[in-house]
Amino acid sequence: MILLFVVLSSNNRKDYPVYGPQVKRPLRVRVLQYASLVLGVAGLVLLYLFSVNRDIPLIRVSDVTPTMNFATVRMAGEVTRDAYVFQSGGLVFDIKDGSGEITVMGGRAQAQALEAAGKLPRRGDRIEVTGSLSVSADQLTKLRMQSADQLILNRKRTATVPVAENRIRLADVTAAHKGEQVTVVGTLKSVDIPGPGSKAPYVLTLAADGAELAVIFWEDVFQGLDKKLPMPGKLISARGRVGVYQDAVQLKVWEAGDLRVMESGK
Amino acid sequence: MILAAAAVLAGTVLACFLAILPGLHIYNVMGLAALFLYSLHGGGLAAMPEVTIPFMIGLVTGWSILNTIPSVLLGAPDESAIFTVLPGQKYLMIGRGYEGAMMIGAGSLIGVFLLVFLIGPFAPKYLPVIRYVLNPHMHWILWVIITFILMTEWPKGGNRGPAGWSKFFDAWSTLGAGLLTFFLSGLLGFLLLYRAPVDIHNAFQNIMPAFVGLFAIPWCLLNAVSGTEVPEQYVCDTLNINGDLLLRSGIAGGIGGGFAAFFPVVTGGIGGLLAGHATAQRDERVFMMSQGVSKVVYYTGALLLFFIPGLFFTRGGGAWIIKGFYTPHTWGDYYLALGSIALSGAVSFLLMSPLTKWTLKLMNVVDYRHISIFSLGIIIALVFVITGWVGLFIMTVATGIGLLPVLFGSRRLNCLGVLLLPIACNMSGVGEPVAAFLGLLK
Repeated sequence: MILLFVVLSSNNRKDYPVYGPQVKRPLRVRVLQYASLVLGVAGLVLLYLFSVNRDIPLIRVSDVTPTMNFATVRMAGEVTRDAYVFQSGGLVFDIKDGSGEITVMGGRAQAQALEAAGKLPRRGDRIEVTGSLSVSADQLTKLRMQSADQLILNRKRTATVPVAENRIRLADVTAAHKGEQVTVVGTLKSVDIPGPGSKAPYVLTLAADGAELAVIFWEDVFQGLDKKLPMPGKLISARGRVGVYQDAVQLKVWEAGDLRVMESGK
Repeated sequence: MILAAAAVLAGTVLACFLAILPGLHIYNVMGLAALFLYSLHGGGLAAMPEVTIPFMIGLVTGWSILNTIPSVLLGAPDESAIFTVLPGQKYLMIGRGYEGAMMIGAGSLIGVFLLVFLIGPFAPKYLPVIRYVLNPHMHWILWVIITFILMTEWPKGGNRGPAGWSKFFDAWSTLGAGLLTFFLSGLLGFLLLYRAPVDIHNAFQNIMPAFVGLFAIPWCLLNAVSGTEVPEQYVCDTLNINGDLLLRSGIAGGIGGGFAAFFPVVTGGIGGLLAGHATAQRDERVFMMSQGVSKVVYYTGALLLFFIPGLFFTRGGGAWIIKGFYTPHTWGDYYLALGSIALSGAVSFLLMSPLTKWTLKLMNVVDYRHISIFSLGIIIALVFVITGWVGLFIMTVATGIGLLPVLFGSRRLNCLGVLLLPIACNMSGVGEPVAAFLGLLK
């Protein structure tokens, strides 16, 4: 009501008759205007505190209703489709939580942040993600990620022990084994990383008993290793399929869990 | 077909009564209607799209034409009609409120003609191309618009008196208040976009309490306390306009409204402002009519974009609400939408004259301050029903911000920072860092 009074009294003239005893220093309307400004800012601060101190609700896919469009929610579940990064820079993956499945989308910033942190979700991972719901009739309900920091990732546990029956000496791997799945152990001699934009694989050169073998893998395995490659000198166990490329024998690894640092080689 | 026509008429007639209530926005009512439809759905019933879509289009079209009446006679515009108030009030204060309202209504009729006969036939072919071309540029265009809005605020004091700090502050109080309003509205927008306090079950209306607080409540409050006496009003059979003025207003308003409908978060008010500057129309009648054109092209045109085959663009609150329960797929949907707009536009304009006369009579019987208070009560009740106590809290804070331009004499358009700032930041890829800086991503 004070604010309204201010509006009404802002047209006062000098010759306006004084009602009641004249005070020494009449209050300027401008002061009340600034007071209202302080009040507005205070209200905004309180609303801010109210908002950021509330827990973002954790909901299930089956709970989503059309009136929840634009709602900021948390969802947890298992990734059912590897994160795919579009050429435009955005990313998409699916999660299921037992009650249903939902597509999670992120923008270029989120995709880059997740990629840099080696946190691009893969099938089987368990995640909890915060985002804004996009619900529309006849279309897929989506969860739009707000920030990469709001994604909690638990990687799928993969087999850590190589299958014993396929284990052979590194020096024994020849072109004759082409197409076979084998496990070898050797000391990491060198690491070759593909250049930016290159489609070439990562190459770990293992050595044992005077022989060398190139162990190759691509970006998805590198992501699976959380973008951390072992240091030369480490004893590495690698499981993969034997291949031949330009007359050289190599071992192709397809799963991050098939590469394991066993112990220090030196 | 008869069912669809009946639904359009029902929506238009309902819009007649809603439009008379100052400050009440049609999107608020559509939100309530959507809630009703969802509850029907929950109960195993489903309303036919052939009924709900024409009804909703009737609501939007009817309201966008007929809400001219309160903006001229009761001085209560929505955010897209802010600029019509001053000239409209002039007409009211010289006893020609009817003529003022009818002139803006004529502009609205031009807007419907533009939509149905010009935009309608060509939009499916050209708009998808225009969208493809403009899409990568939306973010910087939005920043240019923001800059234009802020830079065209002009100082209203500091002209007289000795030089010094007091003169400096006097000059900057309006500009500063405008900037502060934009900034505070923008912060509120970030809060609502990233950590909306509204219950998630009603999140589809989480921006509504803010809009009500920023635009509707300040006007209703001002009207309620205003001491202005409205002089006797005259009703005439002719309007002091001709084909030339109509054409000029159609071009200016069509550009402004079209721009606002196509670009995200740009409202009819901003579109009108840009078009007014771009076409430099000085005649007050052209200005008023162009605002009528702009308003209809913005509200109804934005909704039409949602139905254009090959585009299916979601622009404006109406399209977002409809998207929750129906997604158009076919040319049939487009023809239904165009037909509904044409029918509703025609009926609305026919109702414009009797409704304006009726409102004038009502103002003679009931003090217009009481109408504003009644409307204020309805708006607050609507916010409470849809968003609860939290919504009222947001509305109160937004009212505090919305009153700043009123108290300091700056432009109310600055309140649109609530959408412009966060969306422009998001489109430029800096929304997340800003939200993180504000602590909204914790």
